[in-house]
Amino acid sequence: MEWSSLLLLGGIGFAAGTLGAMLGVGGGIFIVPLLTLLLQLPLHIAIGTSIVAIVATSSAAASSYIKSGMTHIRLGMLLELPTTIGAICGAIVATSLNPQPLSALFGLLLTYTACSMLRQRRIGDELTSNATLPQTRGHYDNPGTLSLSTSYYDQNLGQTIPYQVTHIPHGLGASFFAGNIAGLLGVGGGMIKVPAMNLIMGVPIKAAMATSNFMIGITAVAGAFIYYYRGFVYPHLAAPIILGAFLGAQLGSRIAQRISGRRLNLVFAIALLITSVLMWLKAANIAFAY
Amino acid sequence: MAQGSQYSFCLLGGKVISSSNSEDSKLYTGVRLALIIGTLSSLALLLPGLVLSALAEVRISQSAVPLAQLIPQITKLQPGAILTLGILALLFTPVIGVILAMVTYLRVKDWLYSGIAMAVLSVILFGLARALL
Repeated sequence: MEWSSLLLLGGIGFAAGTLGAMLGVGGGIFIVPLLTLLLQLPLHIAIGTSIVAIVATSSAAASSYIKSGMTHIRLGMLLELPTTIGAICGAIVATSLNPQPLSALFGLLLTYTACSMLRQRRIGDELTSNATLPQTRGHYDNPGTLSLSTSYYDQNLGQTIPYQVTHIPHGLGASFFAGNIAGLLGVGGGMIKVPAMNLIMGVPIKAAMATSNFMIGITAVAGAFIYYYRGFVYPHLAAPIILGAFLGAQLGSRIAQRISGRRLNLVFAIALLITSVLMWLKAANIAFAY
Repeated sequence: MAQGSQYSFCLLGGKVISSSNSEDSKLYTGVRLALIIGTLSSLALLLPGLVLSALAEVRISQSAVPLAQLIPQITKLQPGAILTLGILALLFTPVIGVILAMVTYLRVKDWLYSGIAMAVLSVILFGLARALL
Protein backbone atom coordinates (compact mmCIF):
# COMPACT_ATOMS: atom_id res chain seq x y z
CA MET A 1 0.00 0.00 0.00
CA GLU A 2 1.55 3.27 -1.10
CA TRP A 3 1.89 6.27 1.16
CA SER A 4 0.27 8.45 -1.50
CA SER A 5 -2.84 6.28 -1.28
CA LEU A 6 -2.82 6.57 2.49
CA LEU A 7 -2.60 10.35 2.28
CA LEU A 8 -5.40 10.56 -0.28
CA LEU A 9 -7.69 8.38 1.79
CA GLY A 10 -6.77 10.24 4.95
CA GLY A 11 -7.54 13.52 3.21
CA ILE A 12 -10.96 12.25 2.17
CA GLY A 13 -11.64 11.20 5.75
CA PHE A 14 -10.42 14.53 7.14
CA ALA A 15 -12.64 16.58 4.83
CA ALA A 16 -15.66 14.40 5.48
CA GLY A 17 -15.03 14.38 9.23
CA THR A 18 -14.67 18.16 9.41
CA LEU A 19 -17.83 18.87 7.46
CA GLY A 20 -19.71 16.03 9.08
CA ALA A 21 -18.93 17.15 12.62
CA MET A 22 -19.79 20.76 11.80
CA LEU A 23 -23.12 19.91 10.26
CA GLY A 24 -24.25 16.99 12.42
CA VAL A 25 -23.96 14.45 9.62
CA GLY A 26 -21.67 11.48 9.41
CA GLY A 27 -19.83 12.49 6.28
CA GLY A 28 -20.96 9.45 4.34
CA ILE A 29 -22.80 11.69 1.94
CA PHE A 30 -19.39 13.02 0.90
CA ILE A 31 -17.30 9.85 1.29
CA VAL A 32 -19.32 7.53 -0.95
CA PRO A 33 -19.23 9.78 -4.03
CA LEU A 34 -15.51 10.46 -3.55
CA LEU A 35 -14.65 6.77 -3.27
CA THR A 36 -16.73 5.75 -6.28
CA LEU A 37 -15.56 8.69 -8.40
CA LEU A 38 -11.88 8.98 -7.47
CA LEU A 39 -11.06 5.37 -6.72
CA GLN A 40 -13.70 3.67 -8.88
CA LEU A 41 -14.69 1.47 -5.98
CA PRO A 42 -17.79 -0.72 -6.17
CA LEU A 43 -20.76 0.88 -4.48
CA HIS A 44 -21.15 -1.67 -1.67
CA ILE A 45 -17.49 -1.32 -0.71
CA ALA A 46 -17.80 2.45 -0.69
CA ILE A 47 -20.90 2.25 1.49
CA GLY A 48 -19.29 -0.24 3.88
CA THR A 49 -16.28 2.06 4.23
CA SER A 50 -18.50 5.09 4.64
CA ILE A 51 -20.53 3.51 7.43
CA VAL A 52 -17.41 2.79 9.47
CA ALA A 53 -16.13 6.33 8.90
CA ILE A 54 -19.49 7.68 10.09
CA VAL A 55 -19.01 5.92 13.42
CA ALA A 56 -15.56 7.50 13.67
CA THR A 57 -16.87 11.00 12.94
CA SER A 58 -19.76 10.55 15.34
CA SER A 59 -17.65 9.24 18.21
CA ALA A 60 -15.00 11.92 17.85
CA ALA A 61 -17.42 14.81 17.45
CA ALA A 62 -19.92 13.64 20.04
CA SER A 63 -17.32 13.52 22.80
CA SER A 64 -16.53 17.18 22.11
CA TYR A 65 -20.16 18.26 21.94
CA ILE A 66 -21.09 16.34 25.11
CA LYS A 67 -18.31 18.16 26.95
CA SER A 68 -19.75 21.50 25.80
CA GLY A 69 -23.23 20.47 26.94
CA MET A 70 -24.83 20.88 23.52
CA THR A 71 -25.88 17.25 23.12
CA HIS A 72 -29.37 16.26 24.26
CA ILE A 73 -28.79 12.59 25.08
CA ARG A 74 -32.39 11.93 26.14
CA LEU A 75 -33.76 13.35 22.90
CA GLY A 76 -31.12 11.47 20.94
CA MET A 77 -32.03 8.19 22.62
CA LEU A 78 -35.74 8.78 22.03
CA LEU A 79 -35.32 9.54 18.34
CA GLU A 80 -32.75 6.79 17.90
CA LEU A 81 -35.33 4.08 18.49
CA PRO A 82 -37.33 4.69 15.30
CA THR A 83 -34.10 5.54 13.50
CA THR A 84 -32.42 2.19 14.18
CA ILE A 85 -35.61 0.33 13.31
CA GLY A 86 -35.72 2.27 10.05
CA ALA A 87 -32.05 1.55 9.40
CA ILE A 88 -32.57 -2.19 9.77
CA CYS A 89 -35.60 -2.03 7.46
CA GLY A 90 -33.63 0.01 4.95
CA ALA A 91 -30.68 -2.33 4.99
CA ILE A 92 -32.93 -5.36 4.54
CA VAL A 93 -34.75 -3.98 1.50
CA ALA A 94 -31.68 -2.27 0.02
CA THR A 95 -30.86 -5.05 -2.38
CA SER A 96 -34.38 -5.38 -3.79
CA LEU A 97 -35.28 -1.71 -4.16
CA ASN A 98 -34.64 0.27 -7.32
CA PRO A 99 -32.53 3.16 -6.07
CA GLN A 100 -33.48 5.63 -8.76
CA PRO A 101 -37.01 6.58 -7.64
CA LEU A 102 -35.76 6.69 -4.08
CA SER A 103 -32.94 8.98 -5.07
CA ALA A 104 -35.41 11.30 -6.78
CA LEU A 105 -37.58 11.38 -3.66
CA PHE A 106 -34.57 12.01 -1.47
CA GLY A 107 -33.39 14.76 -3.79
CA LEU A 108 -36.81 16.42 -3.66
CA LEU A 109 -36.87 16.25 0.10
CA LEU A 110 -33.38 17.69 0.43
CA THR A 111 -34.18 20.53 -1.95
CA TYR A 112 -37.33 21.42 -0.01
CA THR A 113 -35.50 21.21 3.30
CA ALA A 114 -32.65 23.40 2.07
CA CYS A 115 -35.10 26.06 0.89
CA SER A 116 -36.93 25.92 4.23
CA MET A 117 -33.72 26.42 6.15
CA LEU A 118 -32.72 29.34 3.98
CA ARG A 119 -36.12 30.95 4.41
CA GLN A 120 -36.18 30.45 8.17
CA ARG A 121 -36.58 33.93 9.62
CA ARG A 122 -35.20 33.29 13.05
CA ILE A 123 -31.93 31.80 11.88
CA GLY A 124 -29.37 32.17 14.64
CA ASP A 125 -31.83 33.97 16.90
CA GLU A 126 -31.66 31.44 19.67
CA LEU A 127 -33.37 33.62 22.31
CA THR A 128 -36.89 33.42 20.94
CA SER A 129 -40.09 31.84 22.22
CA ASN A 130 -38.20 29.48 24.50
CA ALA A 131 -37.11 32.45 26.63
CA THR A 132 -40.37 32.17 28.55
CA LEU A 133 -39.46 28.76 29.88
CA PRO A 134 -39.17 28.38 33.67
CA GLN A 135 -35.84 29.47 35.06
CA THR A 136 -35.12 26.12 36.56
CA ARG A 137 -35.23 23.01 34.51
CA GLY A 138 -33.63 19.69 34.19
CA HIS A 139 -34.17 16.39 32.60
CA TYR A 140 -35.81 15.13 35.77
CA ASP A 141 -38.37 17.85 36.36
CA ASN A 142 -41.14 15.35 35.72
CA PRO A 143 -39.91 11.80 36.25
CA GLY A 144 -41.77 9.29 34.16
CA THR A 145 -42.50 11.79 31.42
CA LEU A 146 -40.44 12.61 28.37
CA SER A 147 -38.79 15.54 30.20
CA LEU A 148 -37.16 17.09 27.16
CA SER A 149 -36.84 20.78 28.10
CA THR A 150 -33.23 21.74 28.59
CA SER A 151 -30.59 24.31 27.76
CA TYR A 152 -27.02 24.63 26.52
CA TYR A 153 -24.29 27.25 26.64
CA ASP A 154 -23.60 28.94 23.28
CA GLN A 155 -19.94 29.98 23.09
CA ASN A 156 -20.59 32.32 20.19
CA LEU A 157 -23.38 34.22 21.94
CA GLY A 158 -21.87 33.87 25.40
CA GLN A 159 -25.19 32.88 26.96
CA THR A 160 -27.22 29.89 28.02
CA ILE A 161 -29.92 29.02 25.52
CA PRO A 162 -33.04 27.35 26.93
CA TYR A 163 -35.34 25.43 24.65
CA GLN A 164 -38.27 23.08 24.73
CA VAL A 165 -38.70 20.15 22.38
CA THR A 166 -42.09 20.04 20.64
CA HIS A 167 -43.91 17.99 17.97
CA ILE A 168 -42.36 14.76 19.20
CA PRO A 169 -44.56 12.41 17.09
CA HIS A 170 -43.49 14.28 13.94
CA GLY A 171 -39.87 13.97 15.02
CA LEU A 172 -40.28 10.24 15.57
CA GLY A 173 -41.72 9.84 12.08
CA ALA A 174 -38.93 11.86 10.52
CA SER A 175 -36.39 9.75 12.41
CA PHE A 176 -37.87 6.53 11.08
CA PHE A 177 -37.61 7.93 7.56
CA ALA A 178 -34.03 9.05 8.25
CA GLY A 179 -33.20 5.55 9.42
CA ASN A 180 -34.57 4.02 6.24
CA ILE A 181 -32.48 6.40 4.16
CA ALA A 182 -29.45 5.54 6.28
CA GLY A 183 -29.93 1.84 5.75
CA LEU A 184 -30.56 2.18 2.04
CA LEU A 185 -27.80 4.61 1.14
CA GLY A 186 -25.17 3.93 3.79
CA VAL A 187 -25.34 7.38 5.35
CA GLY A 188 -25.99 8.46 8.91
CA GLY A 189 -29.29 10.19 8.28
CA GLY A 190 -28.17 13.49 9.73
CA MET A 191 -29.30 15.36 6.62
CA ILE A 192 -32.86 14.58 7.68
CA LYS A 193 -32.48 14.47 11.45
CA VAL A 194 -30.93 17.93 11.85
CA PRO A 195 -33.63 19.78 9.88
CA ALA A 196 -36.31 17.68 11.57
CA MET A 197 -35.08 18.62 15.03
CA ASN A 198 -34.50 22.26 14.09
CA LEU A 199 -37.49 23.06 11.90
CA ILE A 200 -40.13 20.73 13.37
CA MET A 201 -39.16 20.08 16.98
CA GLY A 202 -37.87 23.53 17.92
CA VAL A 203 -34.32 22.48 18.77
CA PRO A 204 -31.72 25.24 18.14
CA ILE A 205 -29.51 24.43 15.19
CA LYS A 206 -26.34 23.89 17.23
CA ALA A 207 -28.06 21.55 19.70
CA ALA A 208 -29.68 19.73 16.76
CA MET A 209 -26.31 19.18 15.09
CA ALA A 210 -24.66 18.09 18.33
CA THR A 211 -27.48 15.65 19.13
CA SER A 212 -27.42 14.33 15.57
CA ASN A 213 -23.69 13.66 15.88
CA PHE A 214 -24.41 11.54 18.94
CA MET A 215 -27.18 9.64 17.16
CA ILE A 216 -25.63 8.88 13.80
CA GLY A 217 -22.91 6.68 15.27
CA ILE A 218 -25.55 4.45 16.81
CA THR A 219 -27.52 4.43 13.55
CA ALA A 220 -24.45 3.50 11.53
CA VAL A 221 -23.53 0.65 13.86
CA ALA A 222 -26.92 -0.96 13.20
CA GLY A 223 -25.94 -1.48 9.56
CA ALA A 224 -22.16 -1.64 9.92
CA PHE A 225 -22.08 -5.17 11.31
CA ILE A 226 -24.09 -6.38 8.33
CA TYR A 227 -21.60 -4.85 5.90
CA TYR A 228 -18.67 -6.25 7.89
CA TYR A 229 -19.96 -9.81 7.85
CA ARG A 230 -20.81 -9.62 4.17
CA GLY A 231 -17.20 -8.69 3.44
CA PHE A 232 -17.89 -5.14 2.25
CA VAL A 233 -15.51 -3.48 4.71
CA TYR A 234 -11.92 -3.29 3.51
CA PRO A 235 -9.82 -2.45 6.58
CA HIS A 236 -6.81 -1.16 4.61
CA LEU A 237 -9.16 1.23 2.84
CA ALA A 238 -11.22 2.18 5.88
CA ALA A 239 -8.40 2.71 8.36
CA PRO A 240 -6.79 5.84 6.82
CA ILE A 241 -10.24 7.31 6.23
CA ILE A 242 -11.15 6.66 9.85
CA LEU A 243 -7.95 8.34 11.06
CA GLY A 244 -8.62 11.35 8.85
CA ALA A 245 -12.23 11.49 10.05
CA PHE A 246 -11.11 11.46 13.70
CA LEU A 247 -8.91 14.50 13.16
CA GLY A 248 -11.44 16.28 10.99
CA ALA A 249 -14.26 15.71 13.47
CA GLN A 250 -12.22 17.23 16.27
CA LEU A 251 -11.65 20.34 14.15
CA GLY A 252 -15.21 20.50 12.85
CA SER A 253 -16.82 20.26 16.28
CA ARG A 254 -14.65 23.09 17.59
CA ILE A 255 -15.46 25.30 14.61
CA ALA A 256 -19.20 24.65 14.99
CA GLN A 257 -19.15 25.72 18.63
CA ARG A 258 -17.55 29.04 17.79
CA ILE A 259 -19.48 30.25 14.77
CA SER A 260 -23.00 31.66 14.78
CA GLY A 261 -26.09 29.53 14.36
CA ARG A 262 -27.04 31.65 11.35
CA ARG A 263 -23.80 30.81 9.57
CA LEU A 264 -24.11 27.13 10.44
CA ASN A 265 -27.63 27.11 9.10
CA LEU A 266 -26.43 28.63 5.81
CA VAL A 267 -23.57 26.13 5.45
CA PHE A 268 -25.96 23.27 6.15
CA ALA A 269 -28.48 24.51 3.60
CA ILE A 270 -25.74 24.74 0.94
CA ALA A 271 -24.60 21.21 1.78
CA LEU A 272 -28.20 20.02 1.41
CA LEU A 273 -28.50 21.66 -1.99
CA ILE A 274 -25.27 20.06 -3.21
CA THR A 275 -26.43 16.68 -1.93
CA SER A 276 -29.82 17.09 -3.57
CA VAL A 277 -28.07 17.71 -6.91
CA LEU A 278 -26.12 14.47 -6.44
CA MET A 279 -29.38 12.66 -5.72
CA TRP A 280 -31.05 14.09 -8.82
CA LEU A 281 -28.05 13.01 -10.91
CA LYS A 282 -28.33 9.52 -9.49
CA ALA A 283 -32.04 9.43 -10.18
CA ALA A 284 -31.34 10.41 -13.78
CA ASN A 285 -28.75 7.62 -13.90
CA ILE A 286 -25.97 10.09 -14.56
CA ALA A 287 -24.59 9.01 -11.23
CA PHE A 288 -21.09 8.75 -10.11
CA ALA A 289 -22.42 9.26 -6.62
CA TYR A 290 -24.34 6.18 -5.60
CA MET B 1 -18.37 23.11 31.55
CA ALA B 2 -21.82 23.83 30.12
CA GLN B 3 -23.55 20.99 31.91
CA GLY B 4 -22.22 22.32 35.23
CA SER B 5 -23.34 25.85 34.43
CA GLN B 6 -26.84 24.57 33.74
CA TYR B 7 -27.07 23.06 37.21
CA SER B 8 -25.48 26.12 38.83
CA PHE B 9 -28.16 28.18 37.11
CA CYS B 10 -30.75 25.97 38.76
CA LEU B 11 -29.13 26.45 42.14
CA LEU B 12 -29.13 30.22 41.76
CA GLY B 13 -32.84 30.01 41.03
CA GLY B 14 -33.33 28.55 44.46
CA LYS B 15 -34.48 25.12 43.40
CA VAL B 16 -32.79 22.15 44.99
CA ILE B 17 -31.27 19.82 42.46
CA SER B 18 -32.45 16.28 42.91
CA SER B 19 -30.03 13.41 43.04
CA SER B 20 -31.40 12.39 39.63
CA ASN B 21 -29.80 15.42 37.98
CA SER B 22 -26.42 14.38 39.34
CA GLU B 23 -27.03 10.96 37.77
CA ASP B 24 -27.77 12.69 34.48
CA SER B 25 -24.51 14.56 34.79
CA LYS B 26 -22.71 11.28 35.49
CA LEU B 27 -24.32 9.82 32.36
CA TYR B 28 -22.93 12.62 30.21
CA THR B 29 -19.50 12.17 31.74
CA GLY B 30 -19.67 8.39 31.37
CA VAL B 31 -20.79 8.47 27.75
CA ARG B 32 -18.09 10.99 26.89
CA LEU B 33 -15.42 8.84 28.56
CA ALA B 34 -16.71 5.75 26.76
CA LEU B 35 -16.49 7.55 23.42
CA ILE B 36 -12.97 8.78 24.16
CA ILE B 37 -11.71 5.40 25.38
CA GLY B 38 -13.34 3.61 22.45
CA THR B 39 -11.87 5.93 19.84
CA LEU B 40 -8.42 5.89 21.45
CA SER B 41 -8.50 2.08 21.61
CA SER B 42 -9.40 1.98 17.95
CA LEU B 43 -6.61 4.42 17.07
CA ALA B 44 -4.11 2.38 19.08
CA LEU B 45 -4.83 -0.57 16.79
CA LEU B 46 -5.33 1.25 13.49
CA LEU B 47 -2.06 3.20 13.56
CA PRO B 48 0.32 0.25 13.98
CA GLY B 49 -1.88 -1.77 11.63
CA LEU B 50 -1.48 0.86 8.93
CA VAL B 51 2.28 1.04 9.43
CA LEU B 52 2.55 -2.74 9.11
CA SER B 53 0.31 -2.64 6.01
CA ALA B 54 2.50 -0.03 4.35
CA LEU B 55 5.68 -1.95 5.17
CA ALA B 56 4.19 -5.26 4.01
CA GLU B 57 2.85 -3.70 0.79
CA VAL B 58 -0.59 -5.14 1.37
CA ARG B 59 -3.29 -4.65 -1.25
CA ILE B 60 -6.13 -2.33 -0.37
CA SER B 61 -8.75 -4.71 -1.72
CA GLN B 62 -8.75 -7.21 1.13
CA SER B 63 -11.90 -7.82 3.10
CA ALA B 64 -12.00 -7.57 6.86
CA VAL B 65 -10.94 -10.74 8.68
CA PRO B 66 -13.88 -12.87 9.87
CA LEU B 67 -14.27 -13.20 13.64
CA ALA B 68 -13.30 -16.88 13.69
CA GLN B 69 -9.91 -16.11 12.12
CA LEU B 70 -9.26 -12.87 13.97
CA ILE B 71 -7.33 -14.07 17.01
CA PRO B 72 -5.08 -16.54 15.15
CA GLN B 73 -4.13 -13.85 12.61
CA ILE B 74 -3.54 -11.22 15.28
CA THR B 75 -1.07 -13.53 17.02
CA LYS B 76 0.79 -13.65 13.71
CA LEU B 77 0.70 -9.82 13.54
CA GLN B 78 -1.22 -9.85 10.28
CA PRO B 79 -1.95 -6.18 9.44
CA GLY B 80 -5.46 -6.94 8.19
CA ALA B 81 -6.39 -8.62 11.47
CA ILE B 82 -5.04 -5.75 13.57
CA LEU B 83 -6.95 -3.25 11.46
CA THR B 84 -10.11 -5.35 11.68
CA LEU B 85 -9.86 -5.44 15.46
CA GLY B 86 -9.42 -1.67 15.49
CA ILE B 87 -12.54 -1.24 13.36
CA LEU B 88 -14.54 -3.57 15.61
CA ALA B 89 -13.41 -1.59 18.67
CA LEU B 90 -14.72 1.51 16.93
CA LEU B 91 -18.06 -0.10 16.09
CA PHE B 92 -18.67 -1.16 19.68
CA THR B 93 -17.98 2.34 21.03
CA PRO B 94 -21.49 3.78 20.46
CA VAL B 95 -22.99 0.50 21.74
CA ILE B 96 -21.23 1.02 25.06
CA GLY B 97 -22.70 4.52 25.20
CA VAL B 98 -26.20 3.07 24.82
CA ILE B 99 -25.51 0.48 27.53
CA LEU B 100 -24.30 3.22 29.89
CA ALA B 101 -27.46 5.20 29.24
CA MET B 102 -29.62 2.16 29.95
CA VAL B 103 -27.81 1.40 33.21
CA THR B 104 -27.99 5.02 34.38
CA TYR B 105 -31.70 5.31 33.73
CA LEU B 106 -32.29 1.98 35.51
CA ARG B 107 -30.36 3.23 38.55
CA VAL B 108 -32.61 6.27 38.90
CA LYS B 109 -35.67 4.12 38.14
CA ASP B 110 -36.55 6.12 35.04
CA TRP B 111 -38.35 3.20 33.47
CA LEU B 112 -39.40 5.11 30.36
CA TYR B 113 -35.90 6.02 29.22
CA SER B 114 -34.33 2.80 30.41
CA GLY B 115 -36.90 1.00 28.29
CA ILE B 116 -36.10 3.22 25.32
CA ALA B 117 -32.36 2.59 25.70
CA MET B 118 -33.00 -1.13 26.07
CA ALA B 119 -35.10 -1.11 22.91
CA VAL B 120 -32.36 0.69 20.96
CA LEU B 121 -29.83 -1.86 22.19
CA SER B 122 -32.16 -4.68 21.17
CA VAL B 123 -32.47 -3.33 17.65
CA ILE B 124 -28.69 -3.08 17.32
CA LEU B 125 -28.28 -6.63 18.60
CA PHE B 126 -30.93 -7.78 16.14
CA GLY B 127 -28.86 -6.27 13.34
CA LEU B 128 -25.77 -8.02 14.70
CA ALA B 129 -27.60 -11.34 14.98
CA ARG B 130 -28.90 -11.01 11.45
CA ALA B 131 -25.37 -10.36 10.23
CA LEU B 132 -24.13 -13.49 11.99
CA LEU B 133 -26.88 -15.77 10.66
